[in-house]
Amino acid sequence: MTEGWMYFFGLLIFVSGLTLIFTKNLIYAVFLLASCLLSISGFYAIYNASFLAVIQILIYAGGNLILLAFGIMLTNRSPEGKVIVGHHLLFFGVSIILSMALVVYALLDSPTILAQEFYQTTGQVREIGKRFLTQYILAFELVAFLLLVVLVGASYLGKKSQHA
Amino acid sequence: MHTFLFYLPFLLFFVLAAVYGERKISAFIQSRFGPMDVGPKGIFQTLADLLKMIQKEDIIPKSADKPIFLLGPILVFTAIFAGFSTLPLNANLAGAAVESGVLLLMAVVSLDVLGILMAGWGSNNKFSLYGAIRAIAQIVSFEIPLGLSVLCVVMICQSMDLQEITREQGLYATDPIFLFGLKVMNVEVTQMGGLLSWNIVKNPFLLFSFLIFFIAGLAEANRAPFDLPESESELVGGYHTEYSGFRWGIFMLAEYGAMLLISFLAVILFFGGWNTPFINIGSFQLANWTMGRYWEVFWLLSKTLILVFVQMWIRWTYPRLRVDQLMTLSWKYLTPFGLLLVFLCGLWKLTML
Repeated sequence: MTEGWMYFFGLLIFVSGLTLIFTKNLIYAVFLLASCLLSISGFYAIYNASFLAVIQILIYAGGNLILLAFGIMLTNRSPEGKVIVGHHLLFFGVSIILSMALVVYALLDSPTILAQEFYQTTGQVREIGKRFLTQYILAFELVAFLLLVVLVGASYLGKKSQHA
Repeated sequence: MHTFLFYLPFLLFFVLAAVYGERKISAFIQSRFGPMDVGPKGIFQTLADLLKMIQKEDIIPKSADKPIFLLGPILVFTAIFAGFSTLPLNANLAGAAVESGVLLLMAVVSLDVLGILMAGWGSNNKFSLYGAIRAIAQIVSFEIPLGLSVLCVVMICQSMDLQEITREQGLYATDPIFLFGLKVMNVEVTQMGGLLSWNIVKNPFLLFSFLIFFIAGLAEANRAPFDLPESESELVGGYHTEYSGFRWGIFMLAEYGAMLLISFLAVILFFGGWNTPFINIGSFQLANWTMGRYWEVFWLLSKTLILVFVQMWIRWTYPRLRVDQLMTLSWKYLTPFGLLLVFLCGLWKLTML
């Protein structure tokens, strides 16, 4: 069952990702990205990381993507919705993919991830909360502070552009 | 599983009844009769409207972006309906076994923005696009006070599972419940159940939290006084201007679904979910007598329908807000009050309970 779902979501990620790269229509690209991100959250869900799946939907599909789509909607609609795509970033793209593959390969070999840890589901959220406020308190507070700074900065920038 | 077996038929039947109910309630508020001709007291009016709607031609504008145009309404309804999957029905029928149930509900329902965007953009009509931008700006900004008020409840209950939150508000609670949440008064009401163990009585701050939740929920469901996306009198439609026939019907289905979902969520978070409102007093075990498999479903549904009625009542009482007033309400009033309530609920949890 899990394996079937894995292939289903994997195929969905693969197809929508590839179409996303090769489509010339900007708004199609946004919706394909949505399908890609949702399939990734499906992947999290079938491997019992339900909290991560929900966060993926909330932050990426519900937050970032809406902002992206908003930006694209407010730009001018080019004739037939086509965009001109160059290939000058090909080298960086390929090198990023290769280094990601290397990292994944290294993680597969690393002994820190144990198989039985994947199936502990009960009390997941509680455990994450406890770890955040004890073991990882510094990182948690720093991230919170960074987000606060971003929030204040964003509202300041918004105000400034209004008066300029 | 009961999402498909119970909530889907219930939602469809609810829409039929609610459209008729809304027309009758609005007529009552405005001293009119409302629909009277079709059937006794006009009771088959919605069925007749439905038949008319299905017979209409399915028009797709020539210059519309066809796949996006067709997918839009389906996505809107799917997102709203997926939210129902986490709702419990009674003590034995919990929703989807997701530990972070409320969070999942909020996340999935927020995806209907994507469908609205598809509808607005796909129509290839600048007024539809403006309508979509208006609707999305509204939904995205009101999600913040909504989330803050839900956070208050999650902090008090220390759980995000809707079934768990409900269970703590009645006779099945595992933790002792004190009157008004005041441990110092030392009046334990765990065995009395009923009204006294509901969240809004357990923690009086949650009453204000509920007000914020309800206002933000009205805006999320595009209901009046926040129904700018489809204000028929001054803006002439919104993102669904170009849709006809049953595709337009799906948008209405999604709107009534969102209305129902917000009411269900409010009942579960603040008014005890499937718990009975009656209290055990001495030998009158009213709470025990009115709890059972079918009683619980009855309580959940009746409380929800009362809140739906309140939504309709508000719709026909208050005038519509302008778009800047809408944003002011969300960002300058509801969000700061929501933050304050989160702070107060945290203090309450630390000191009182």
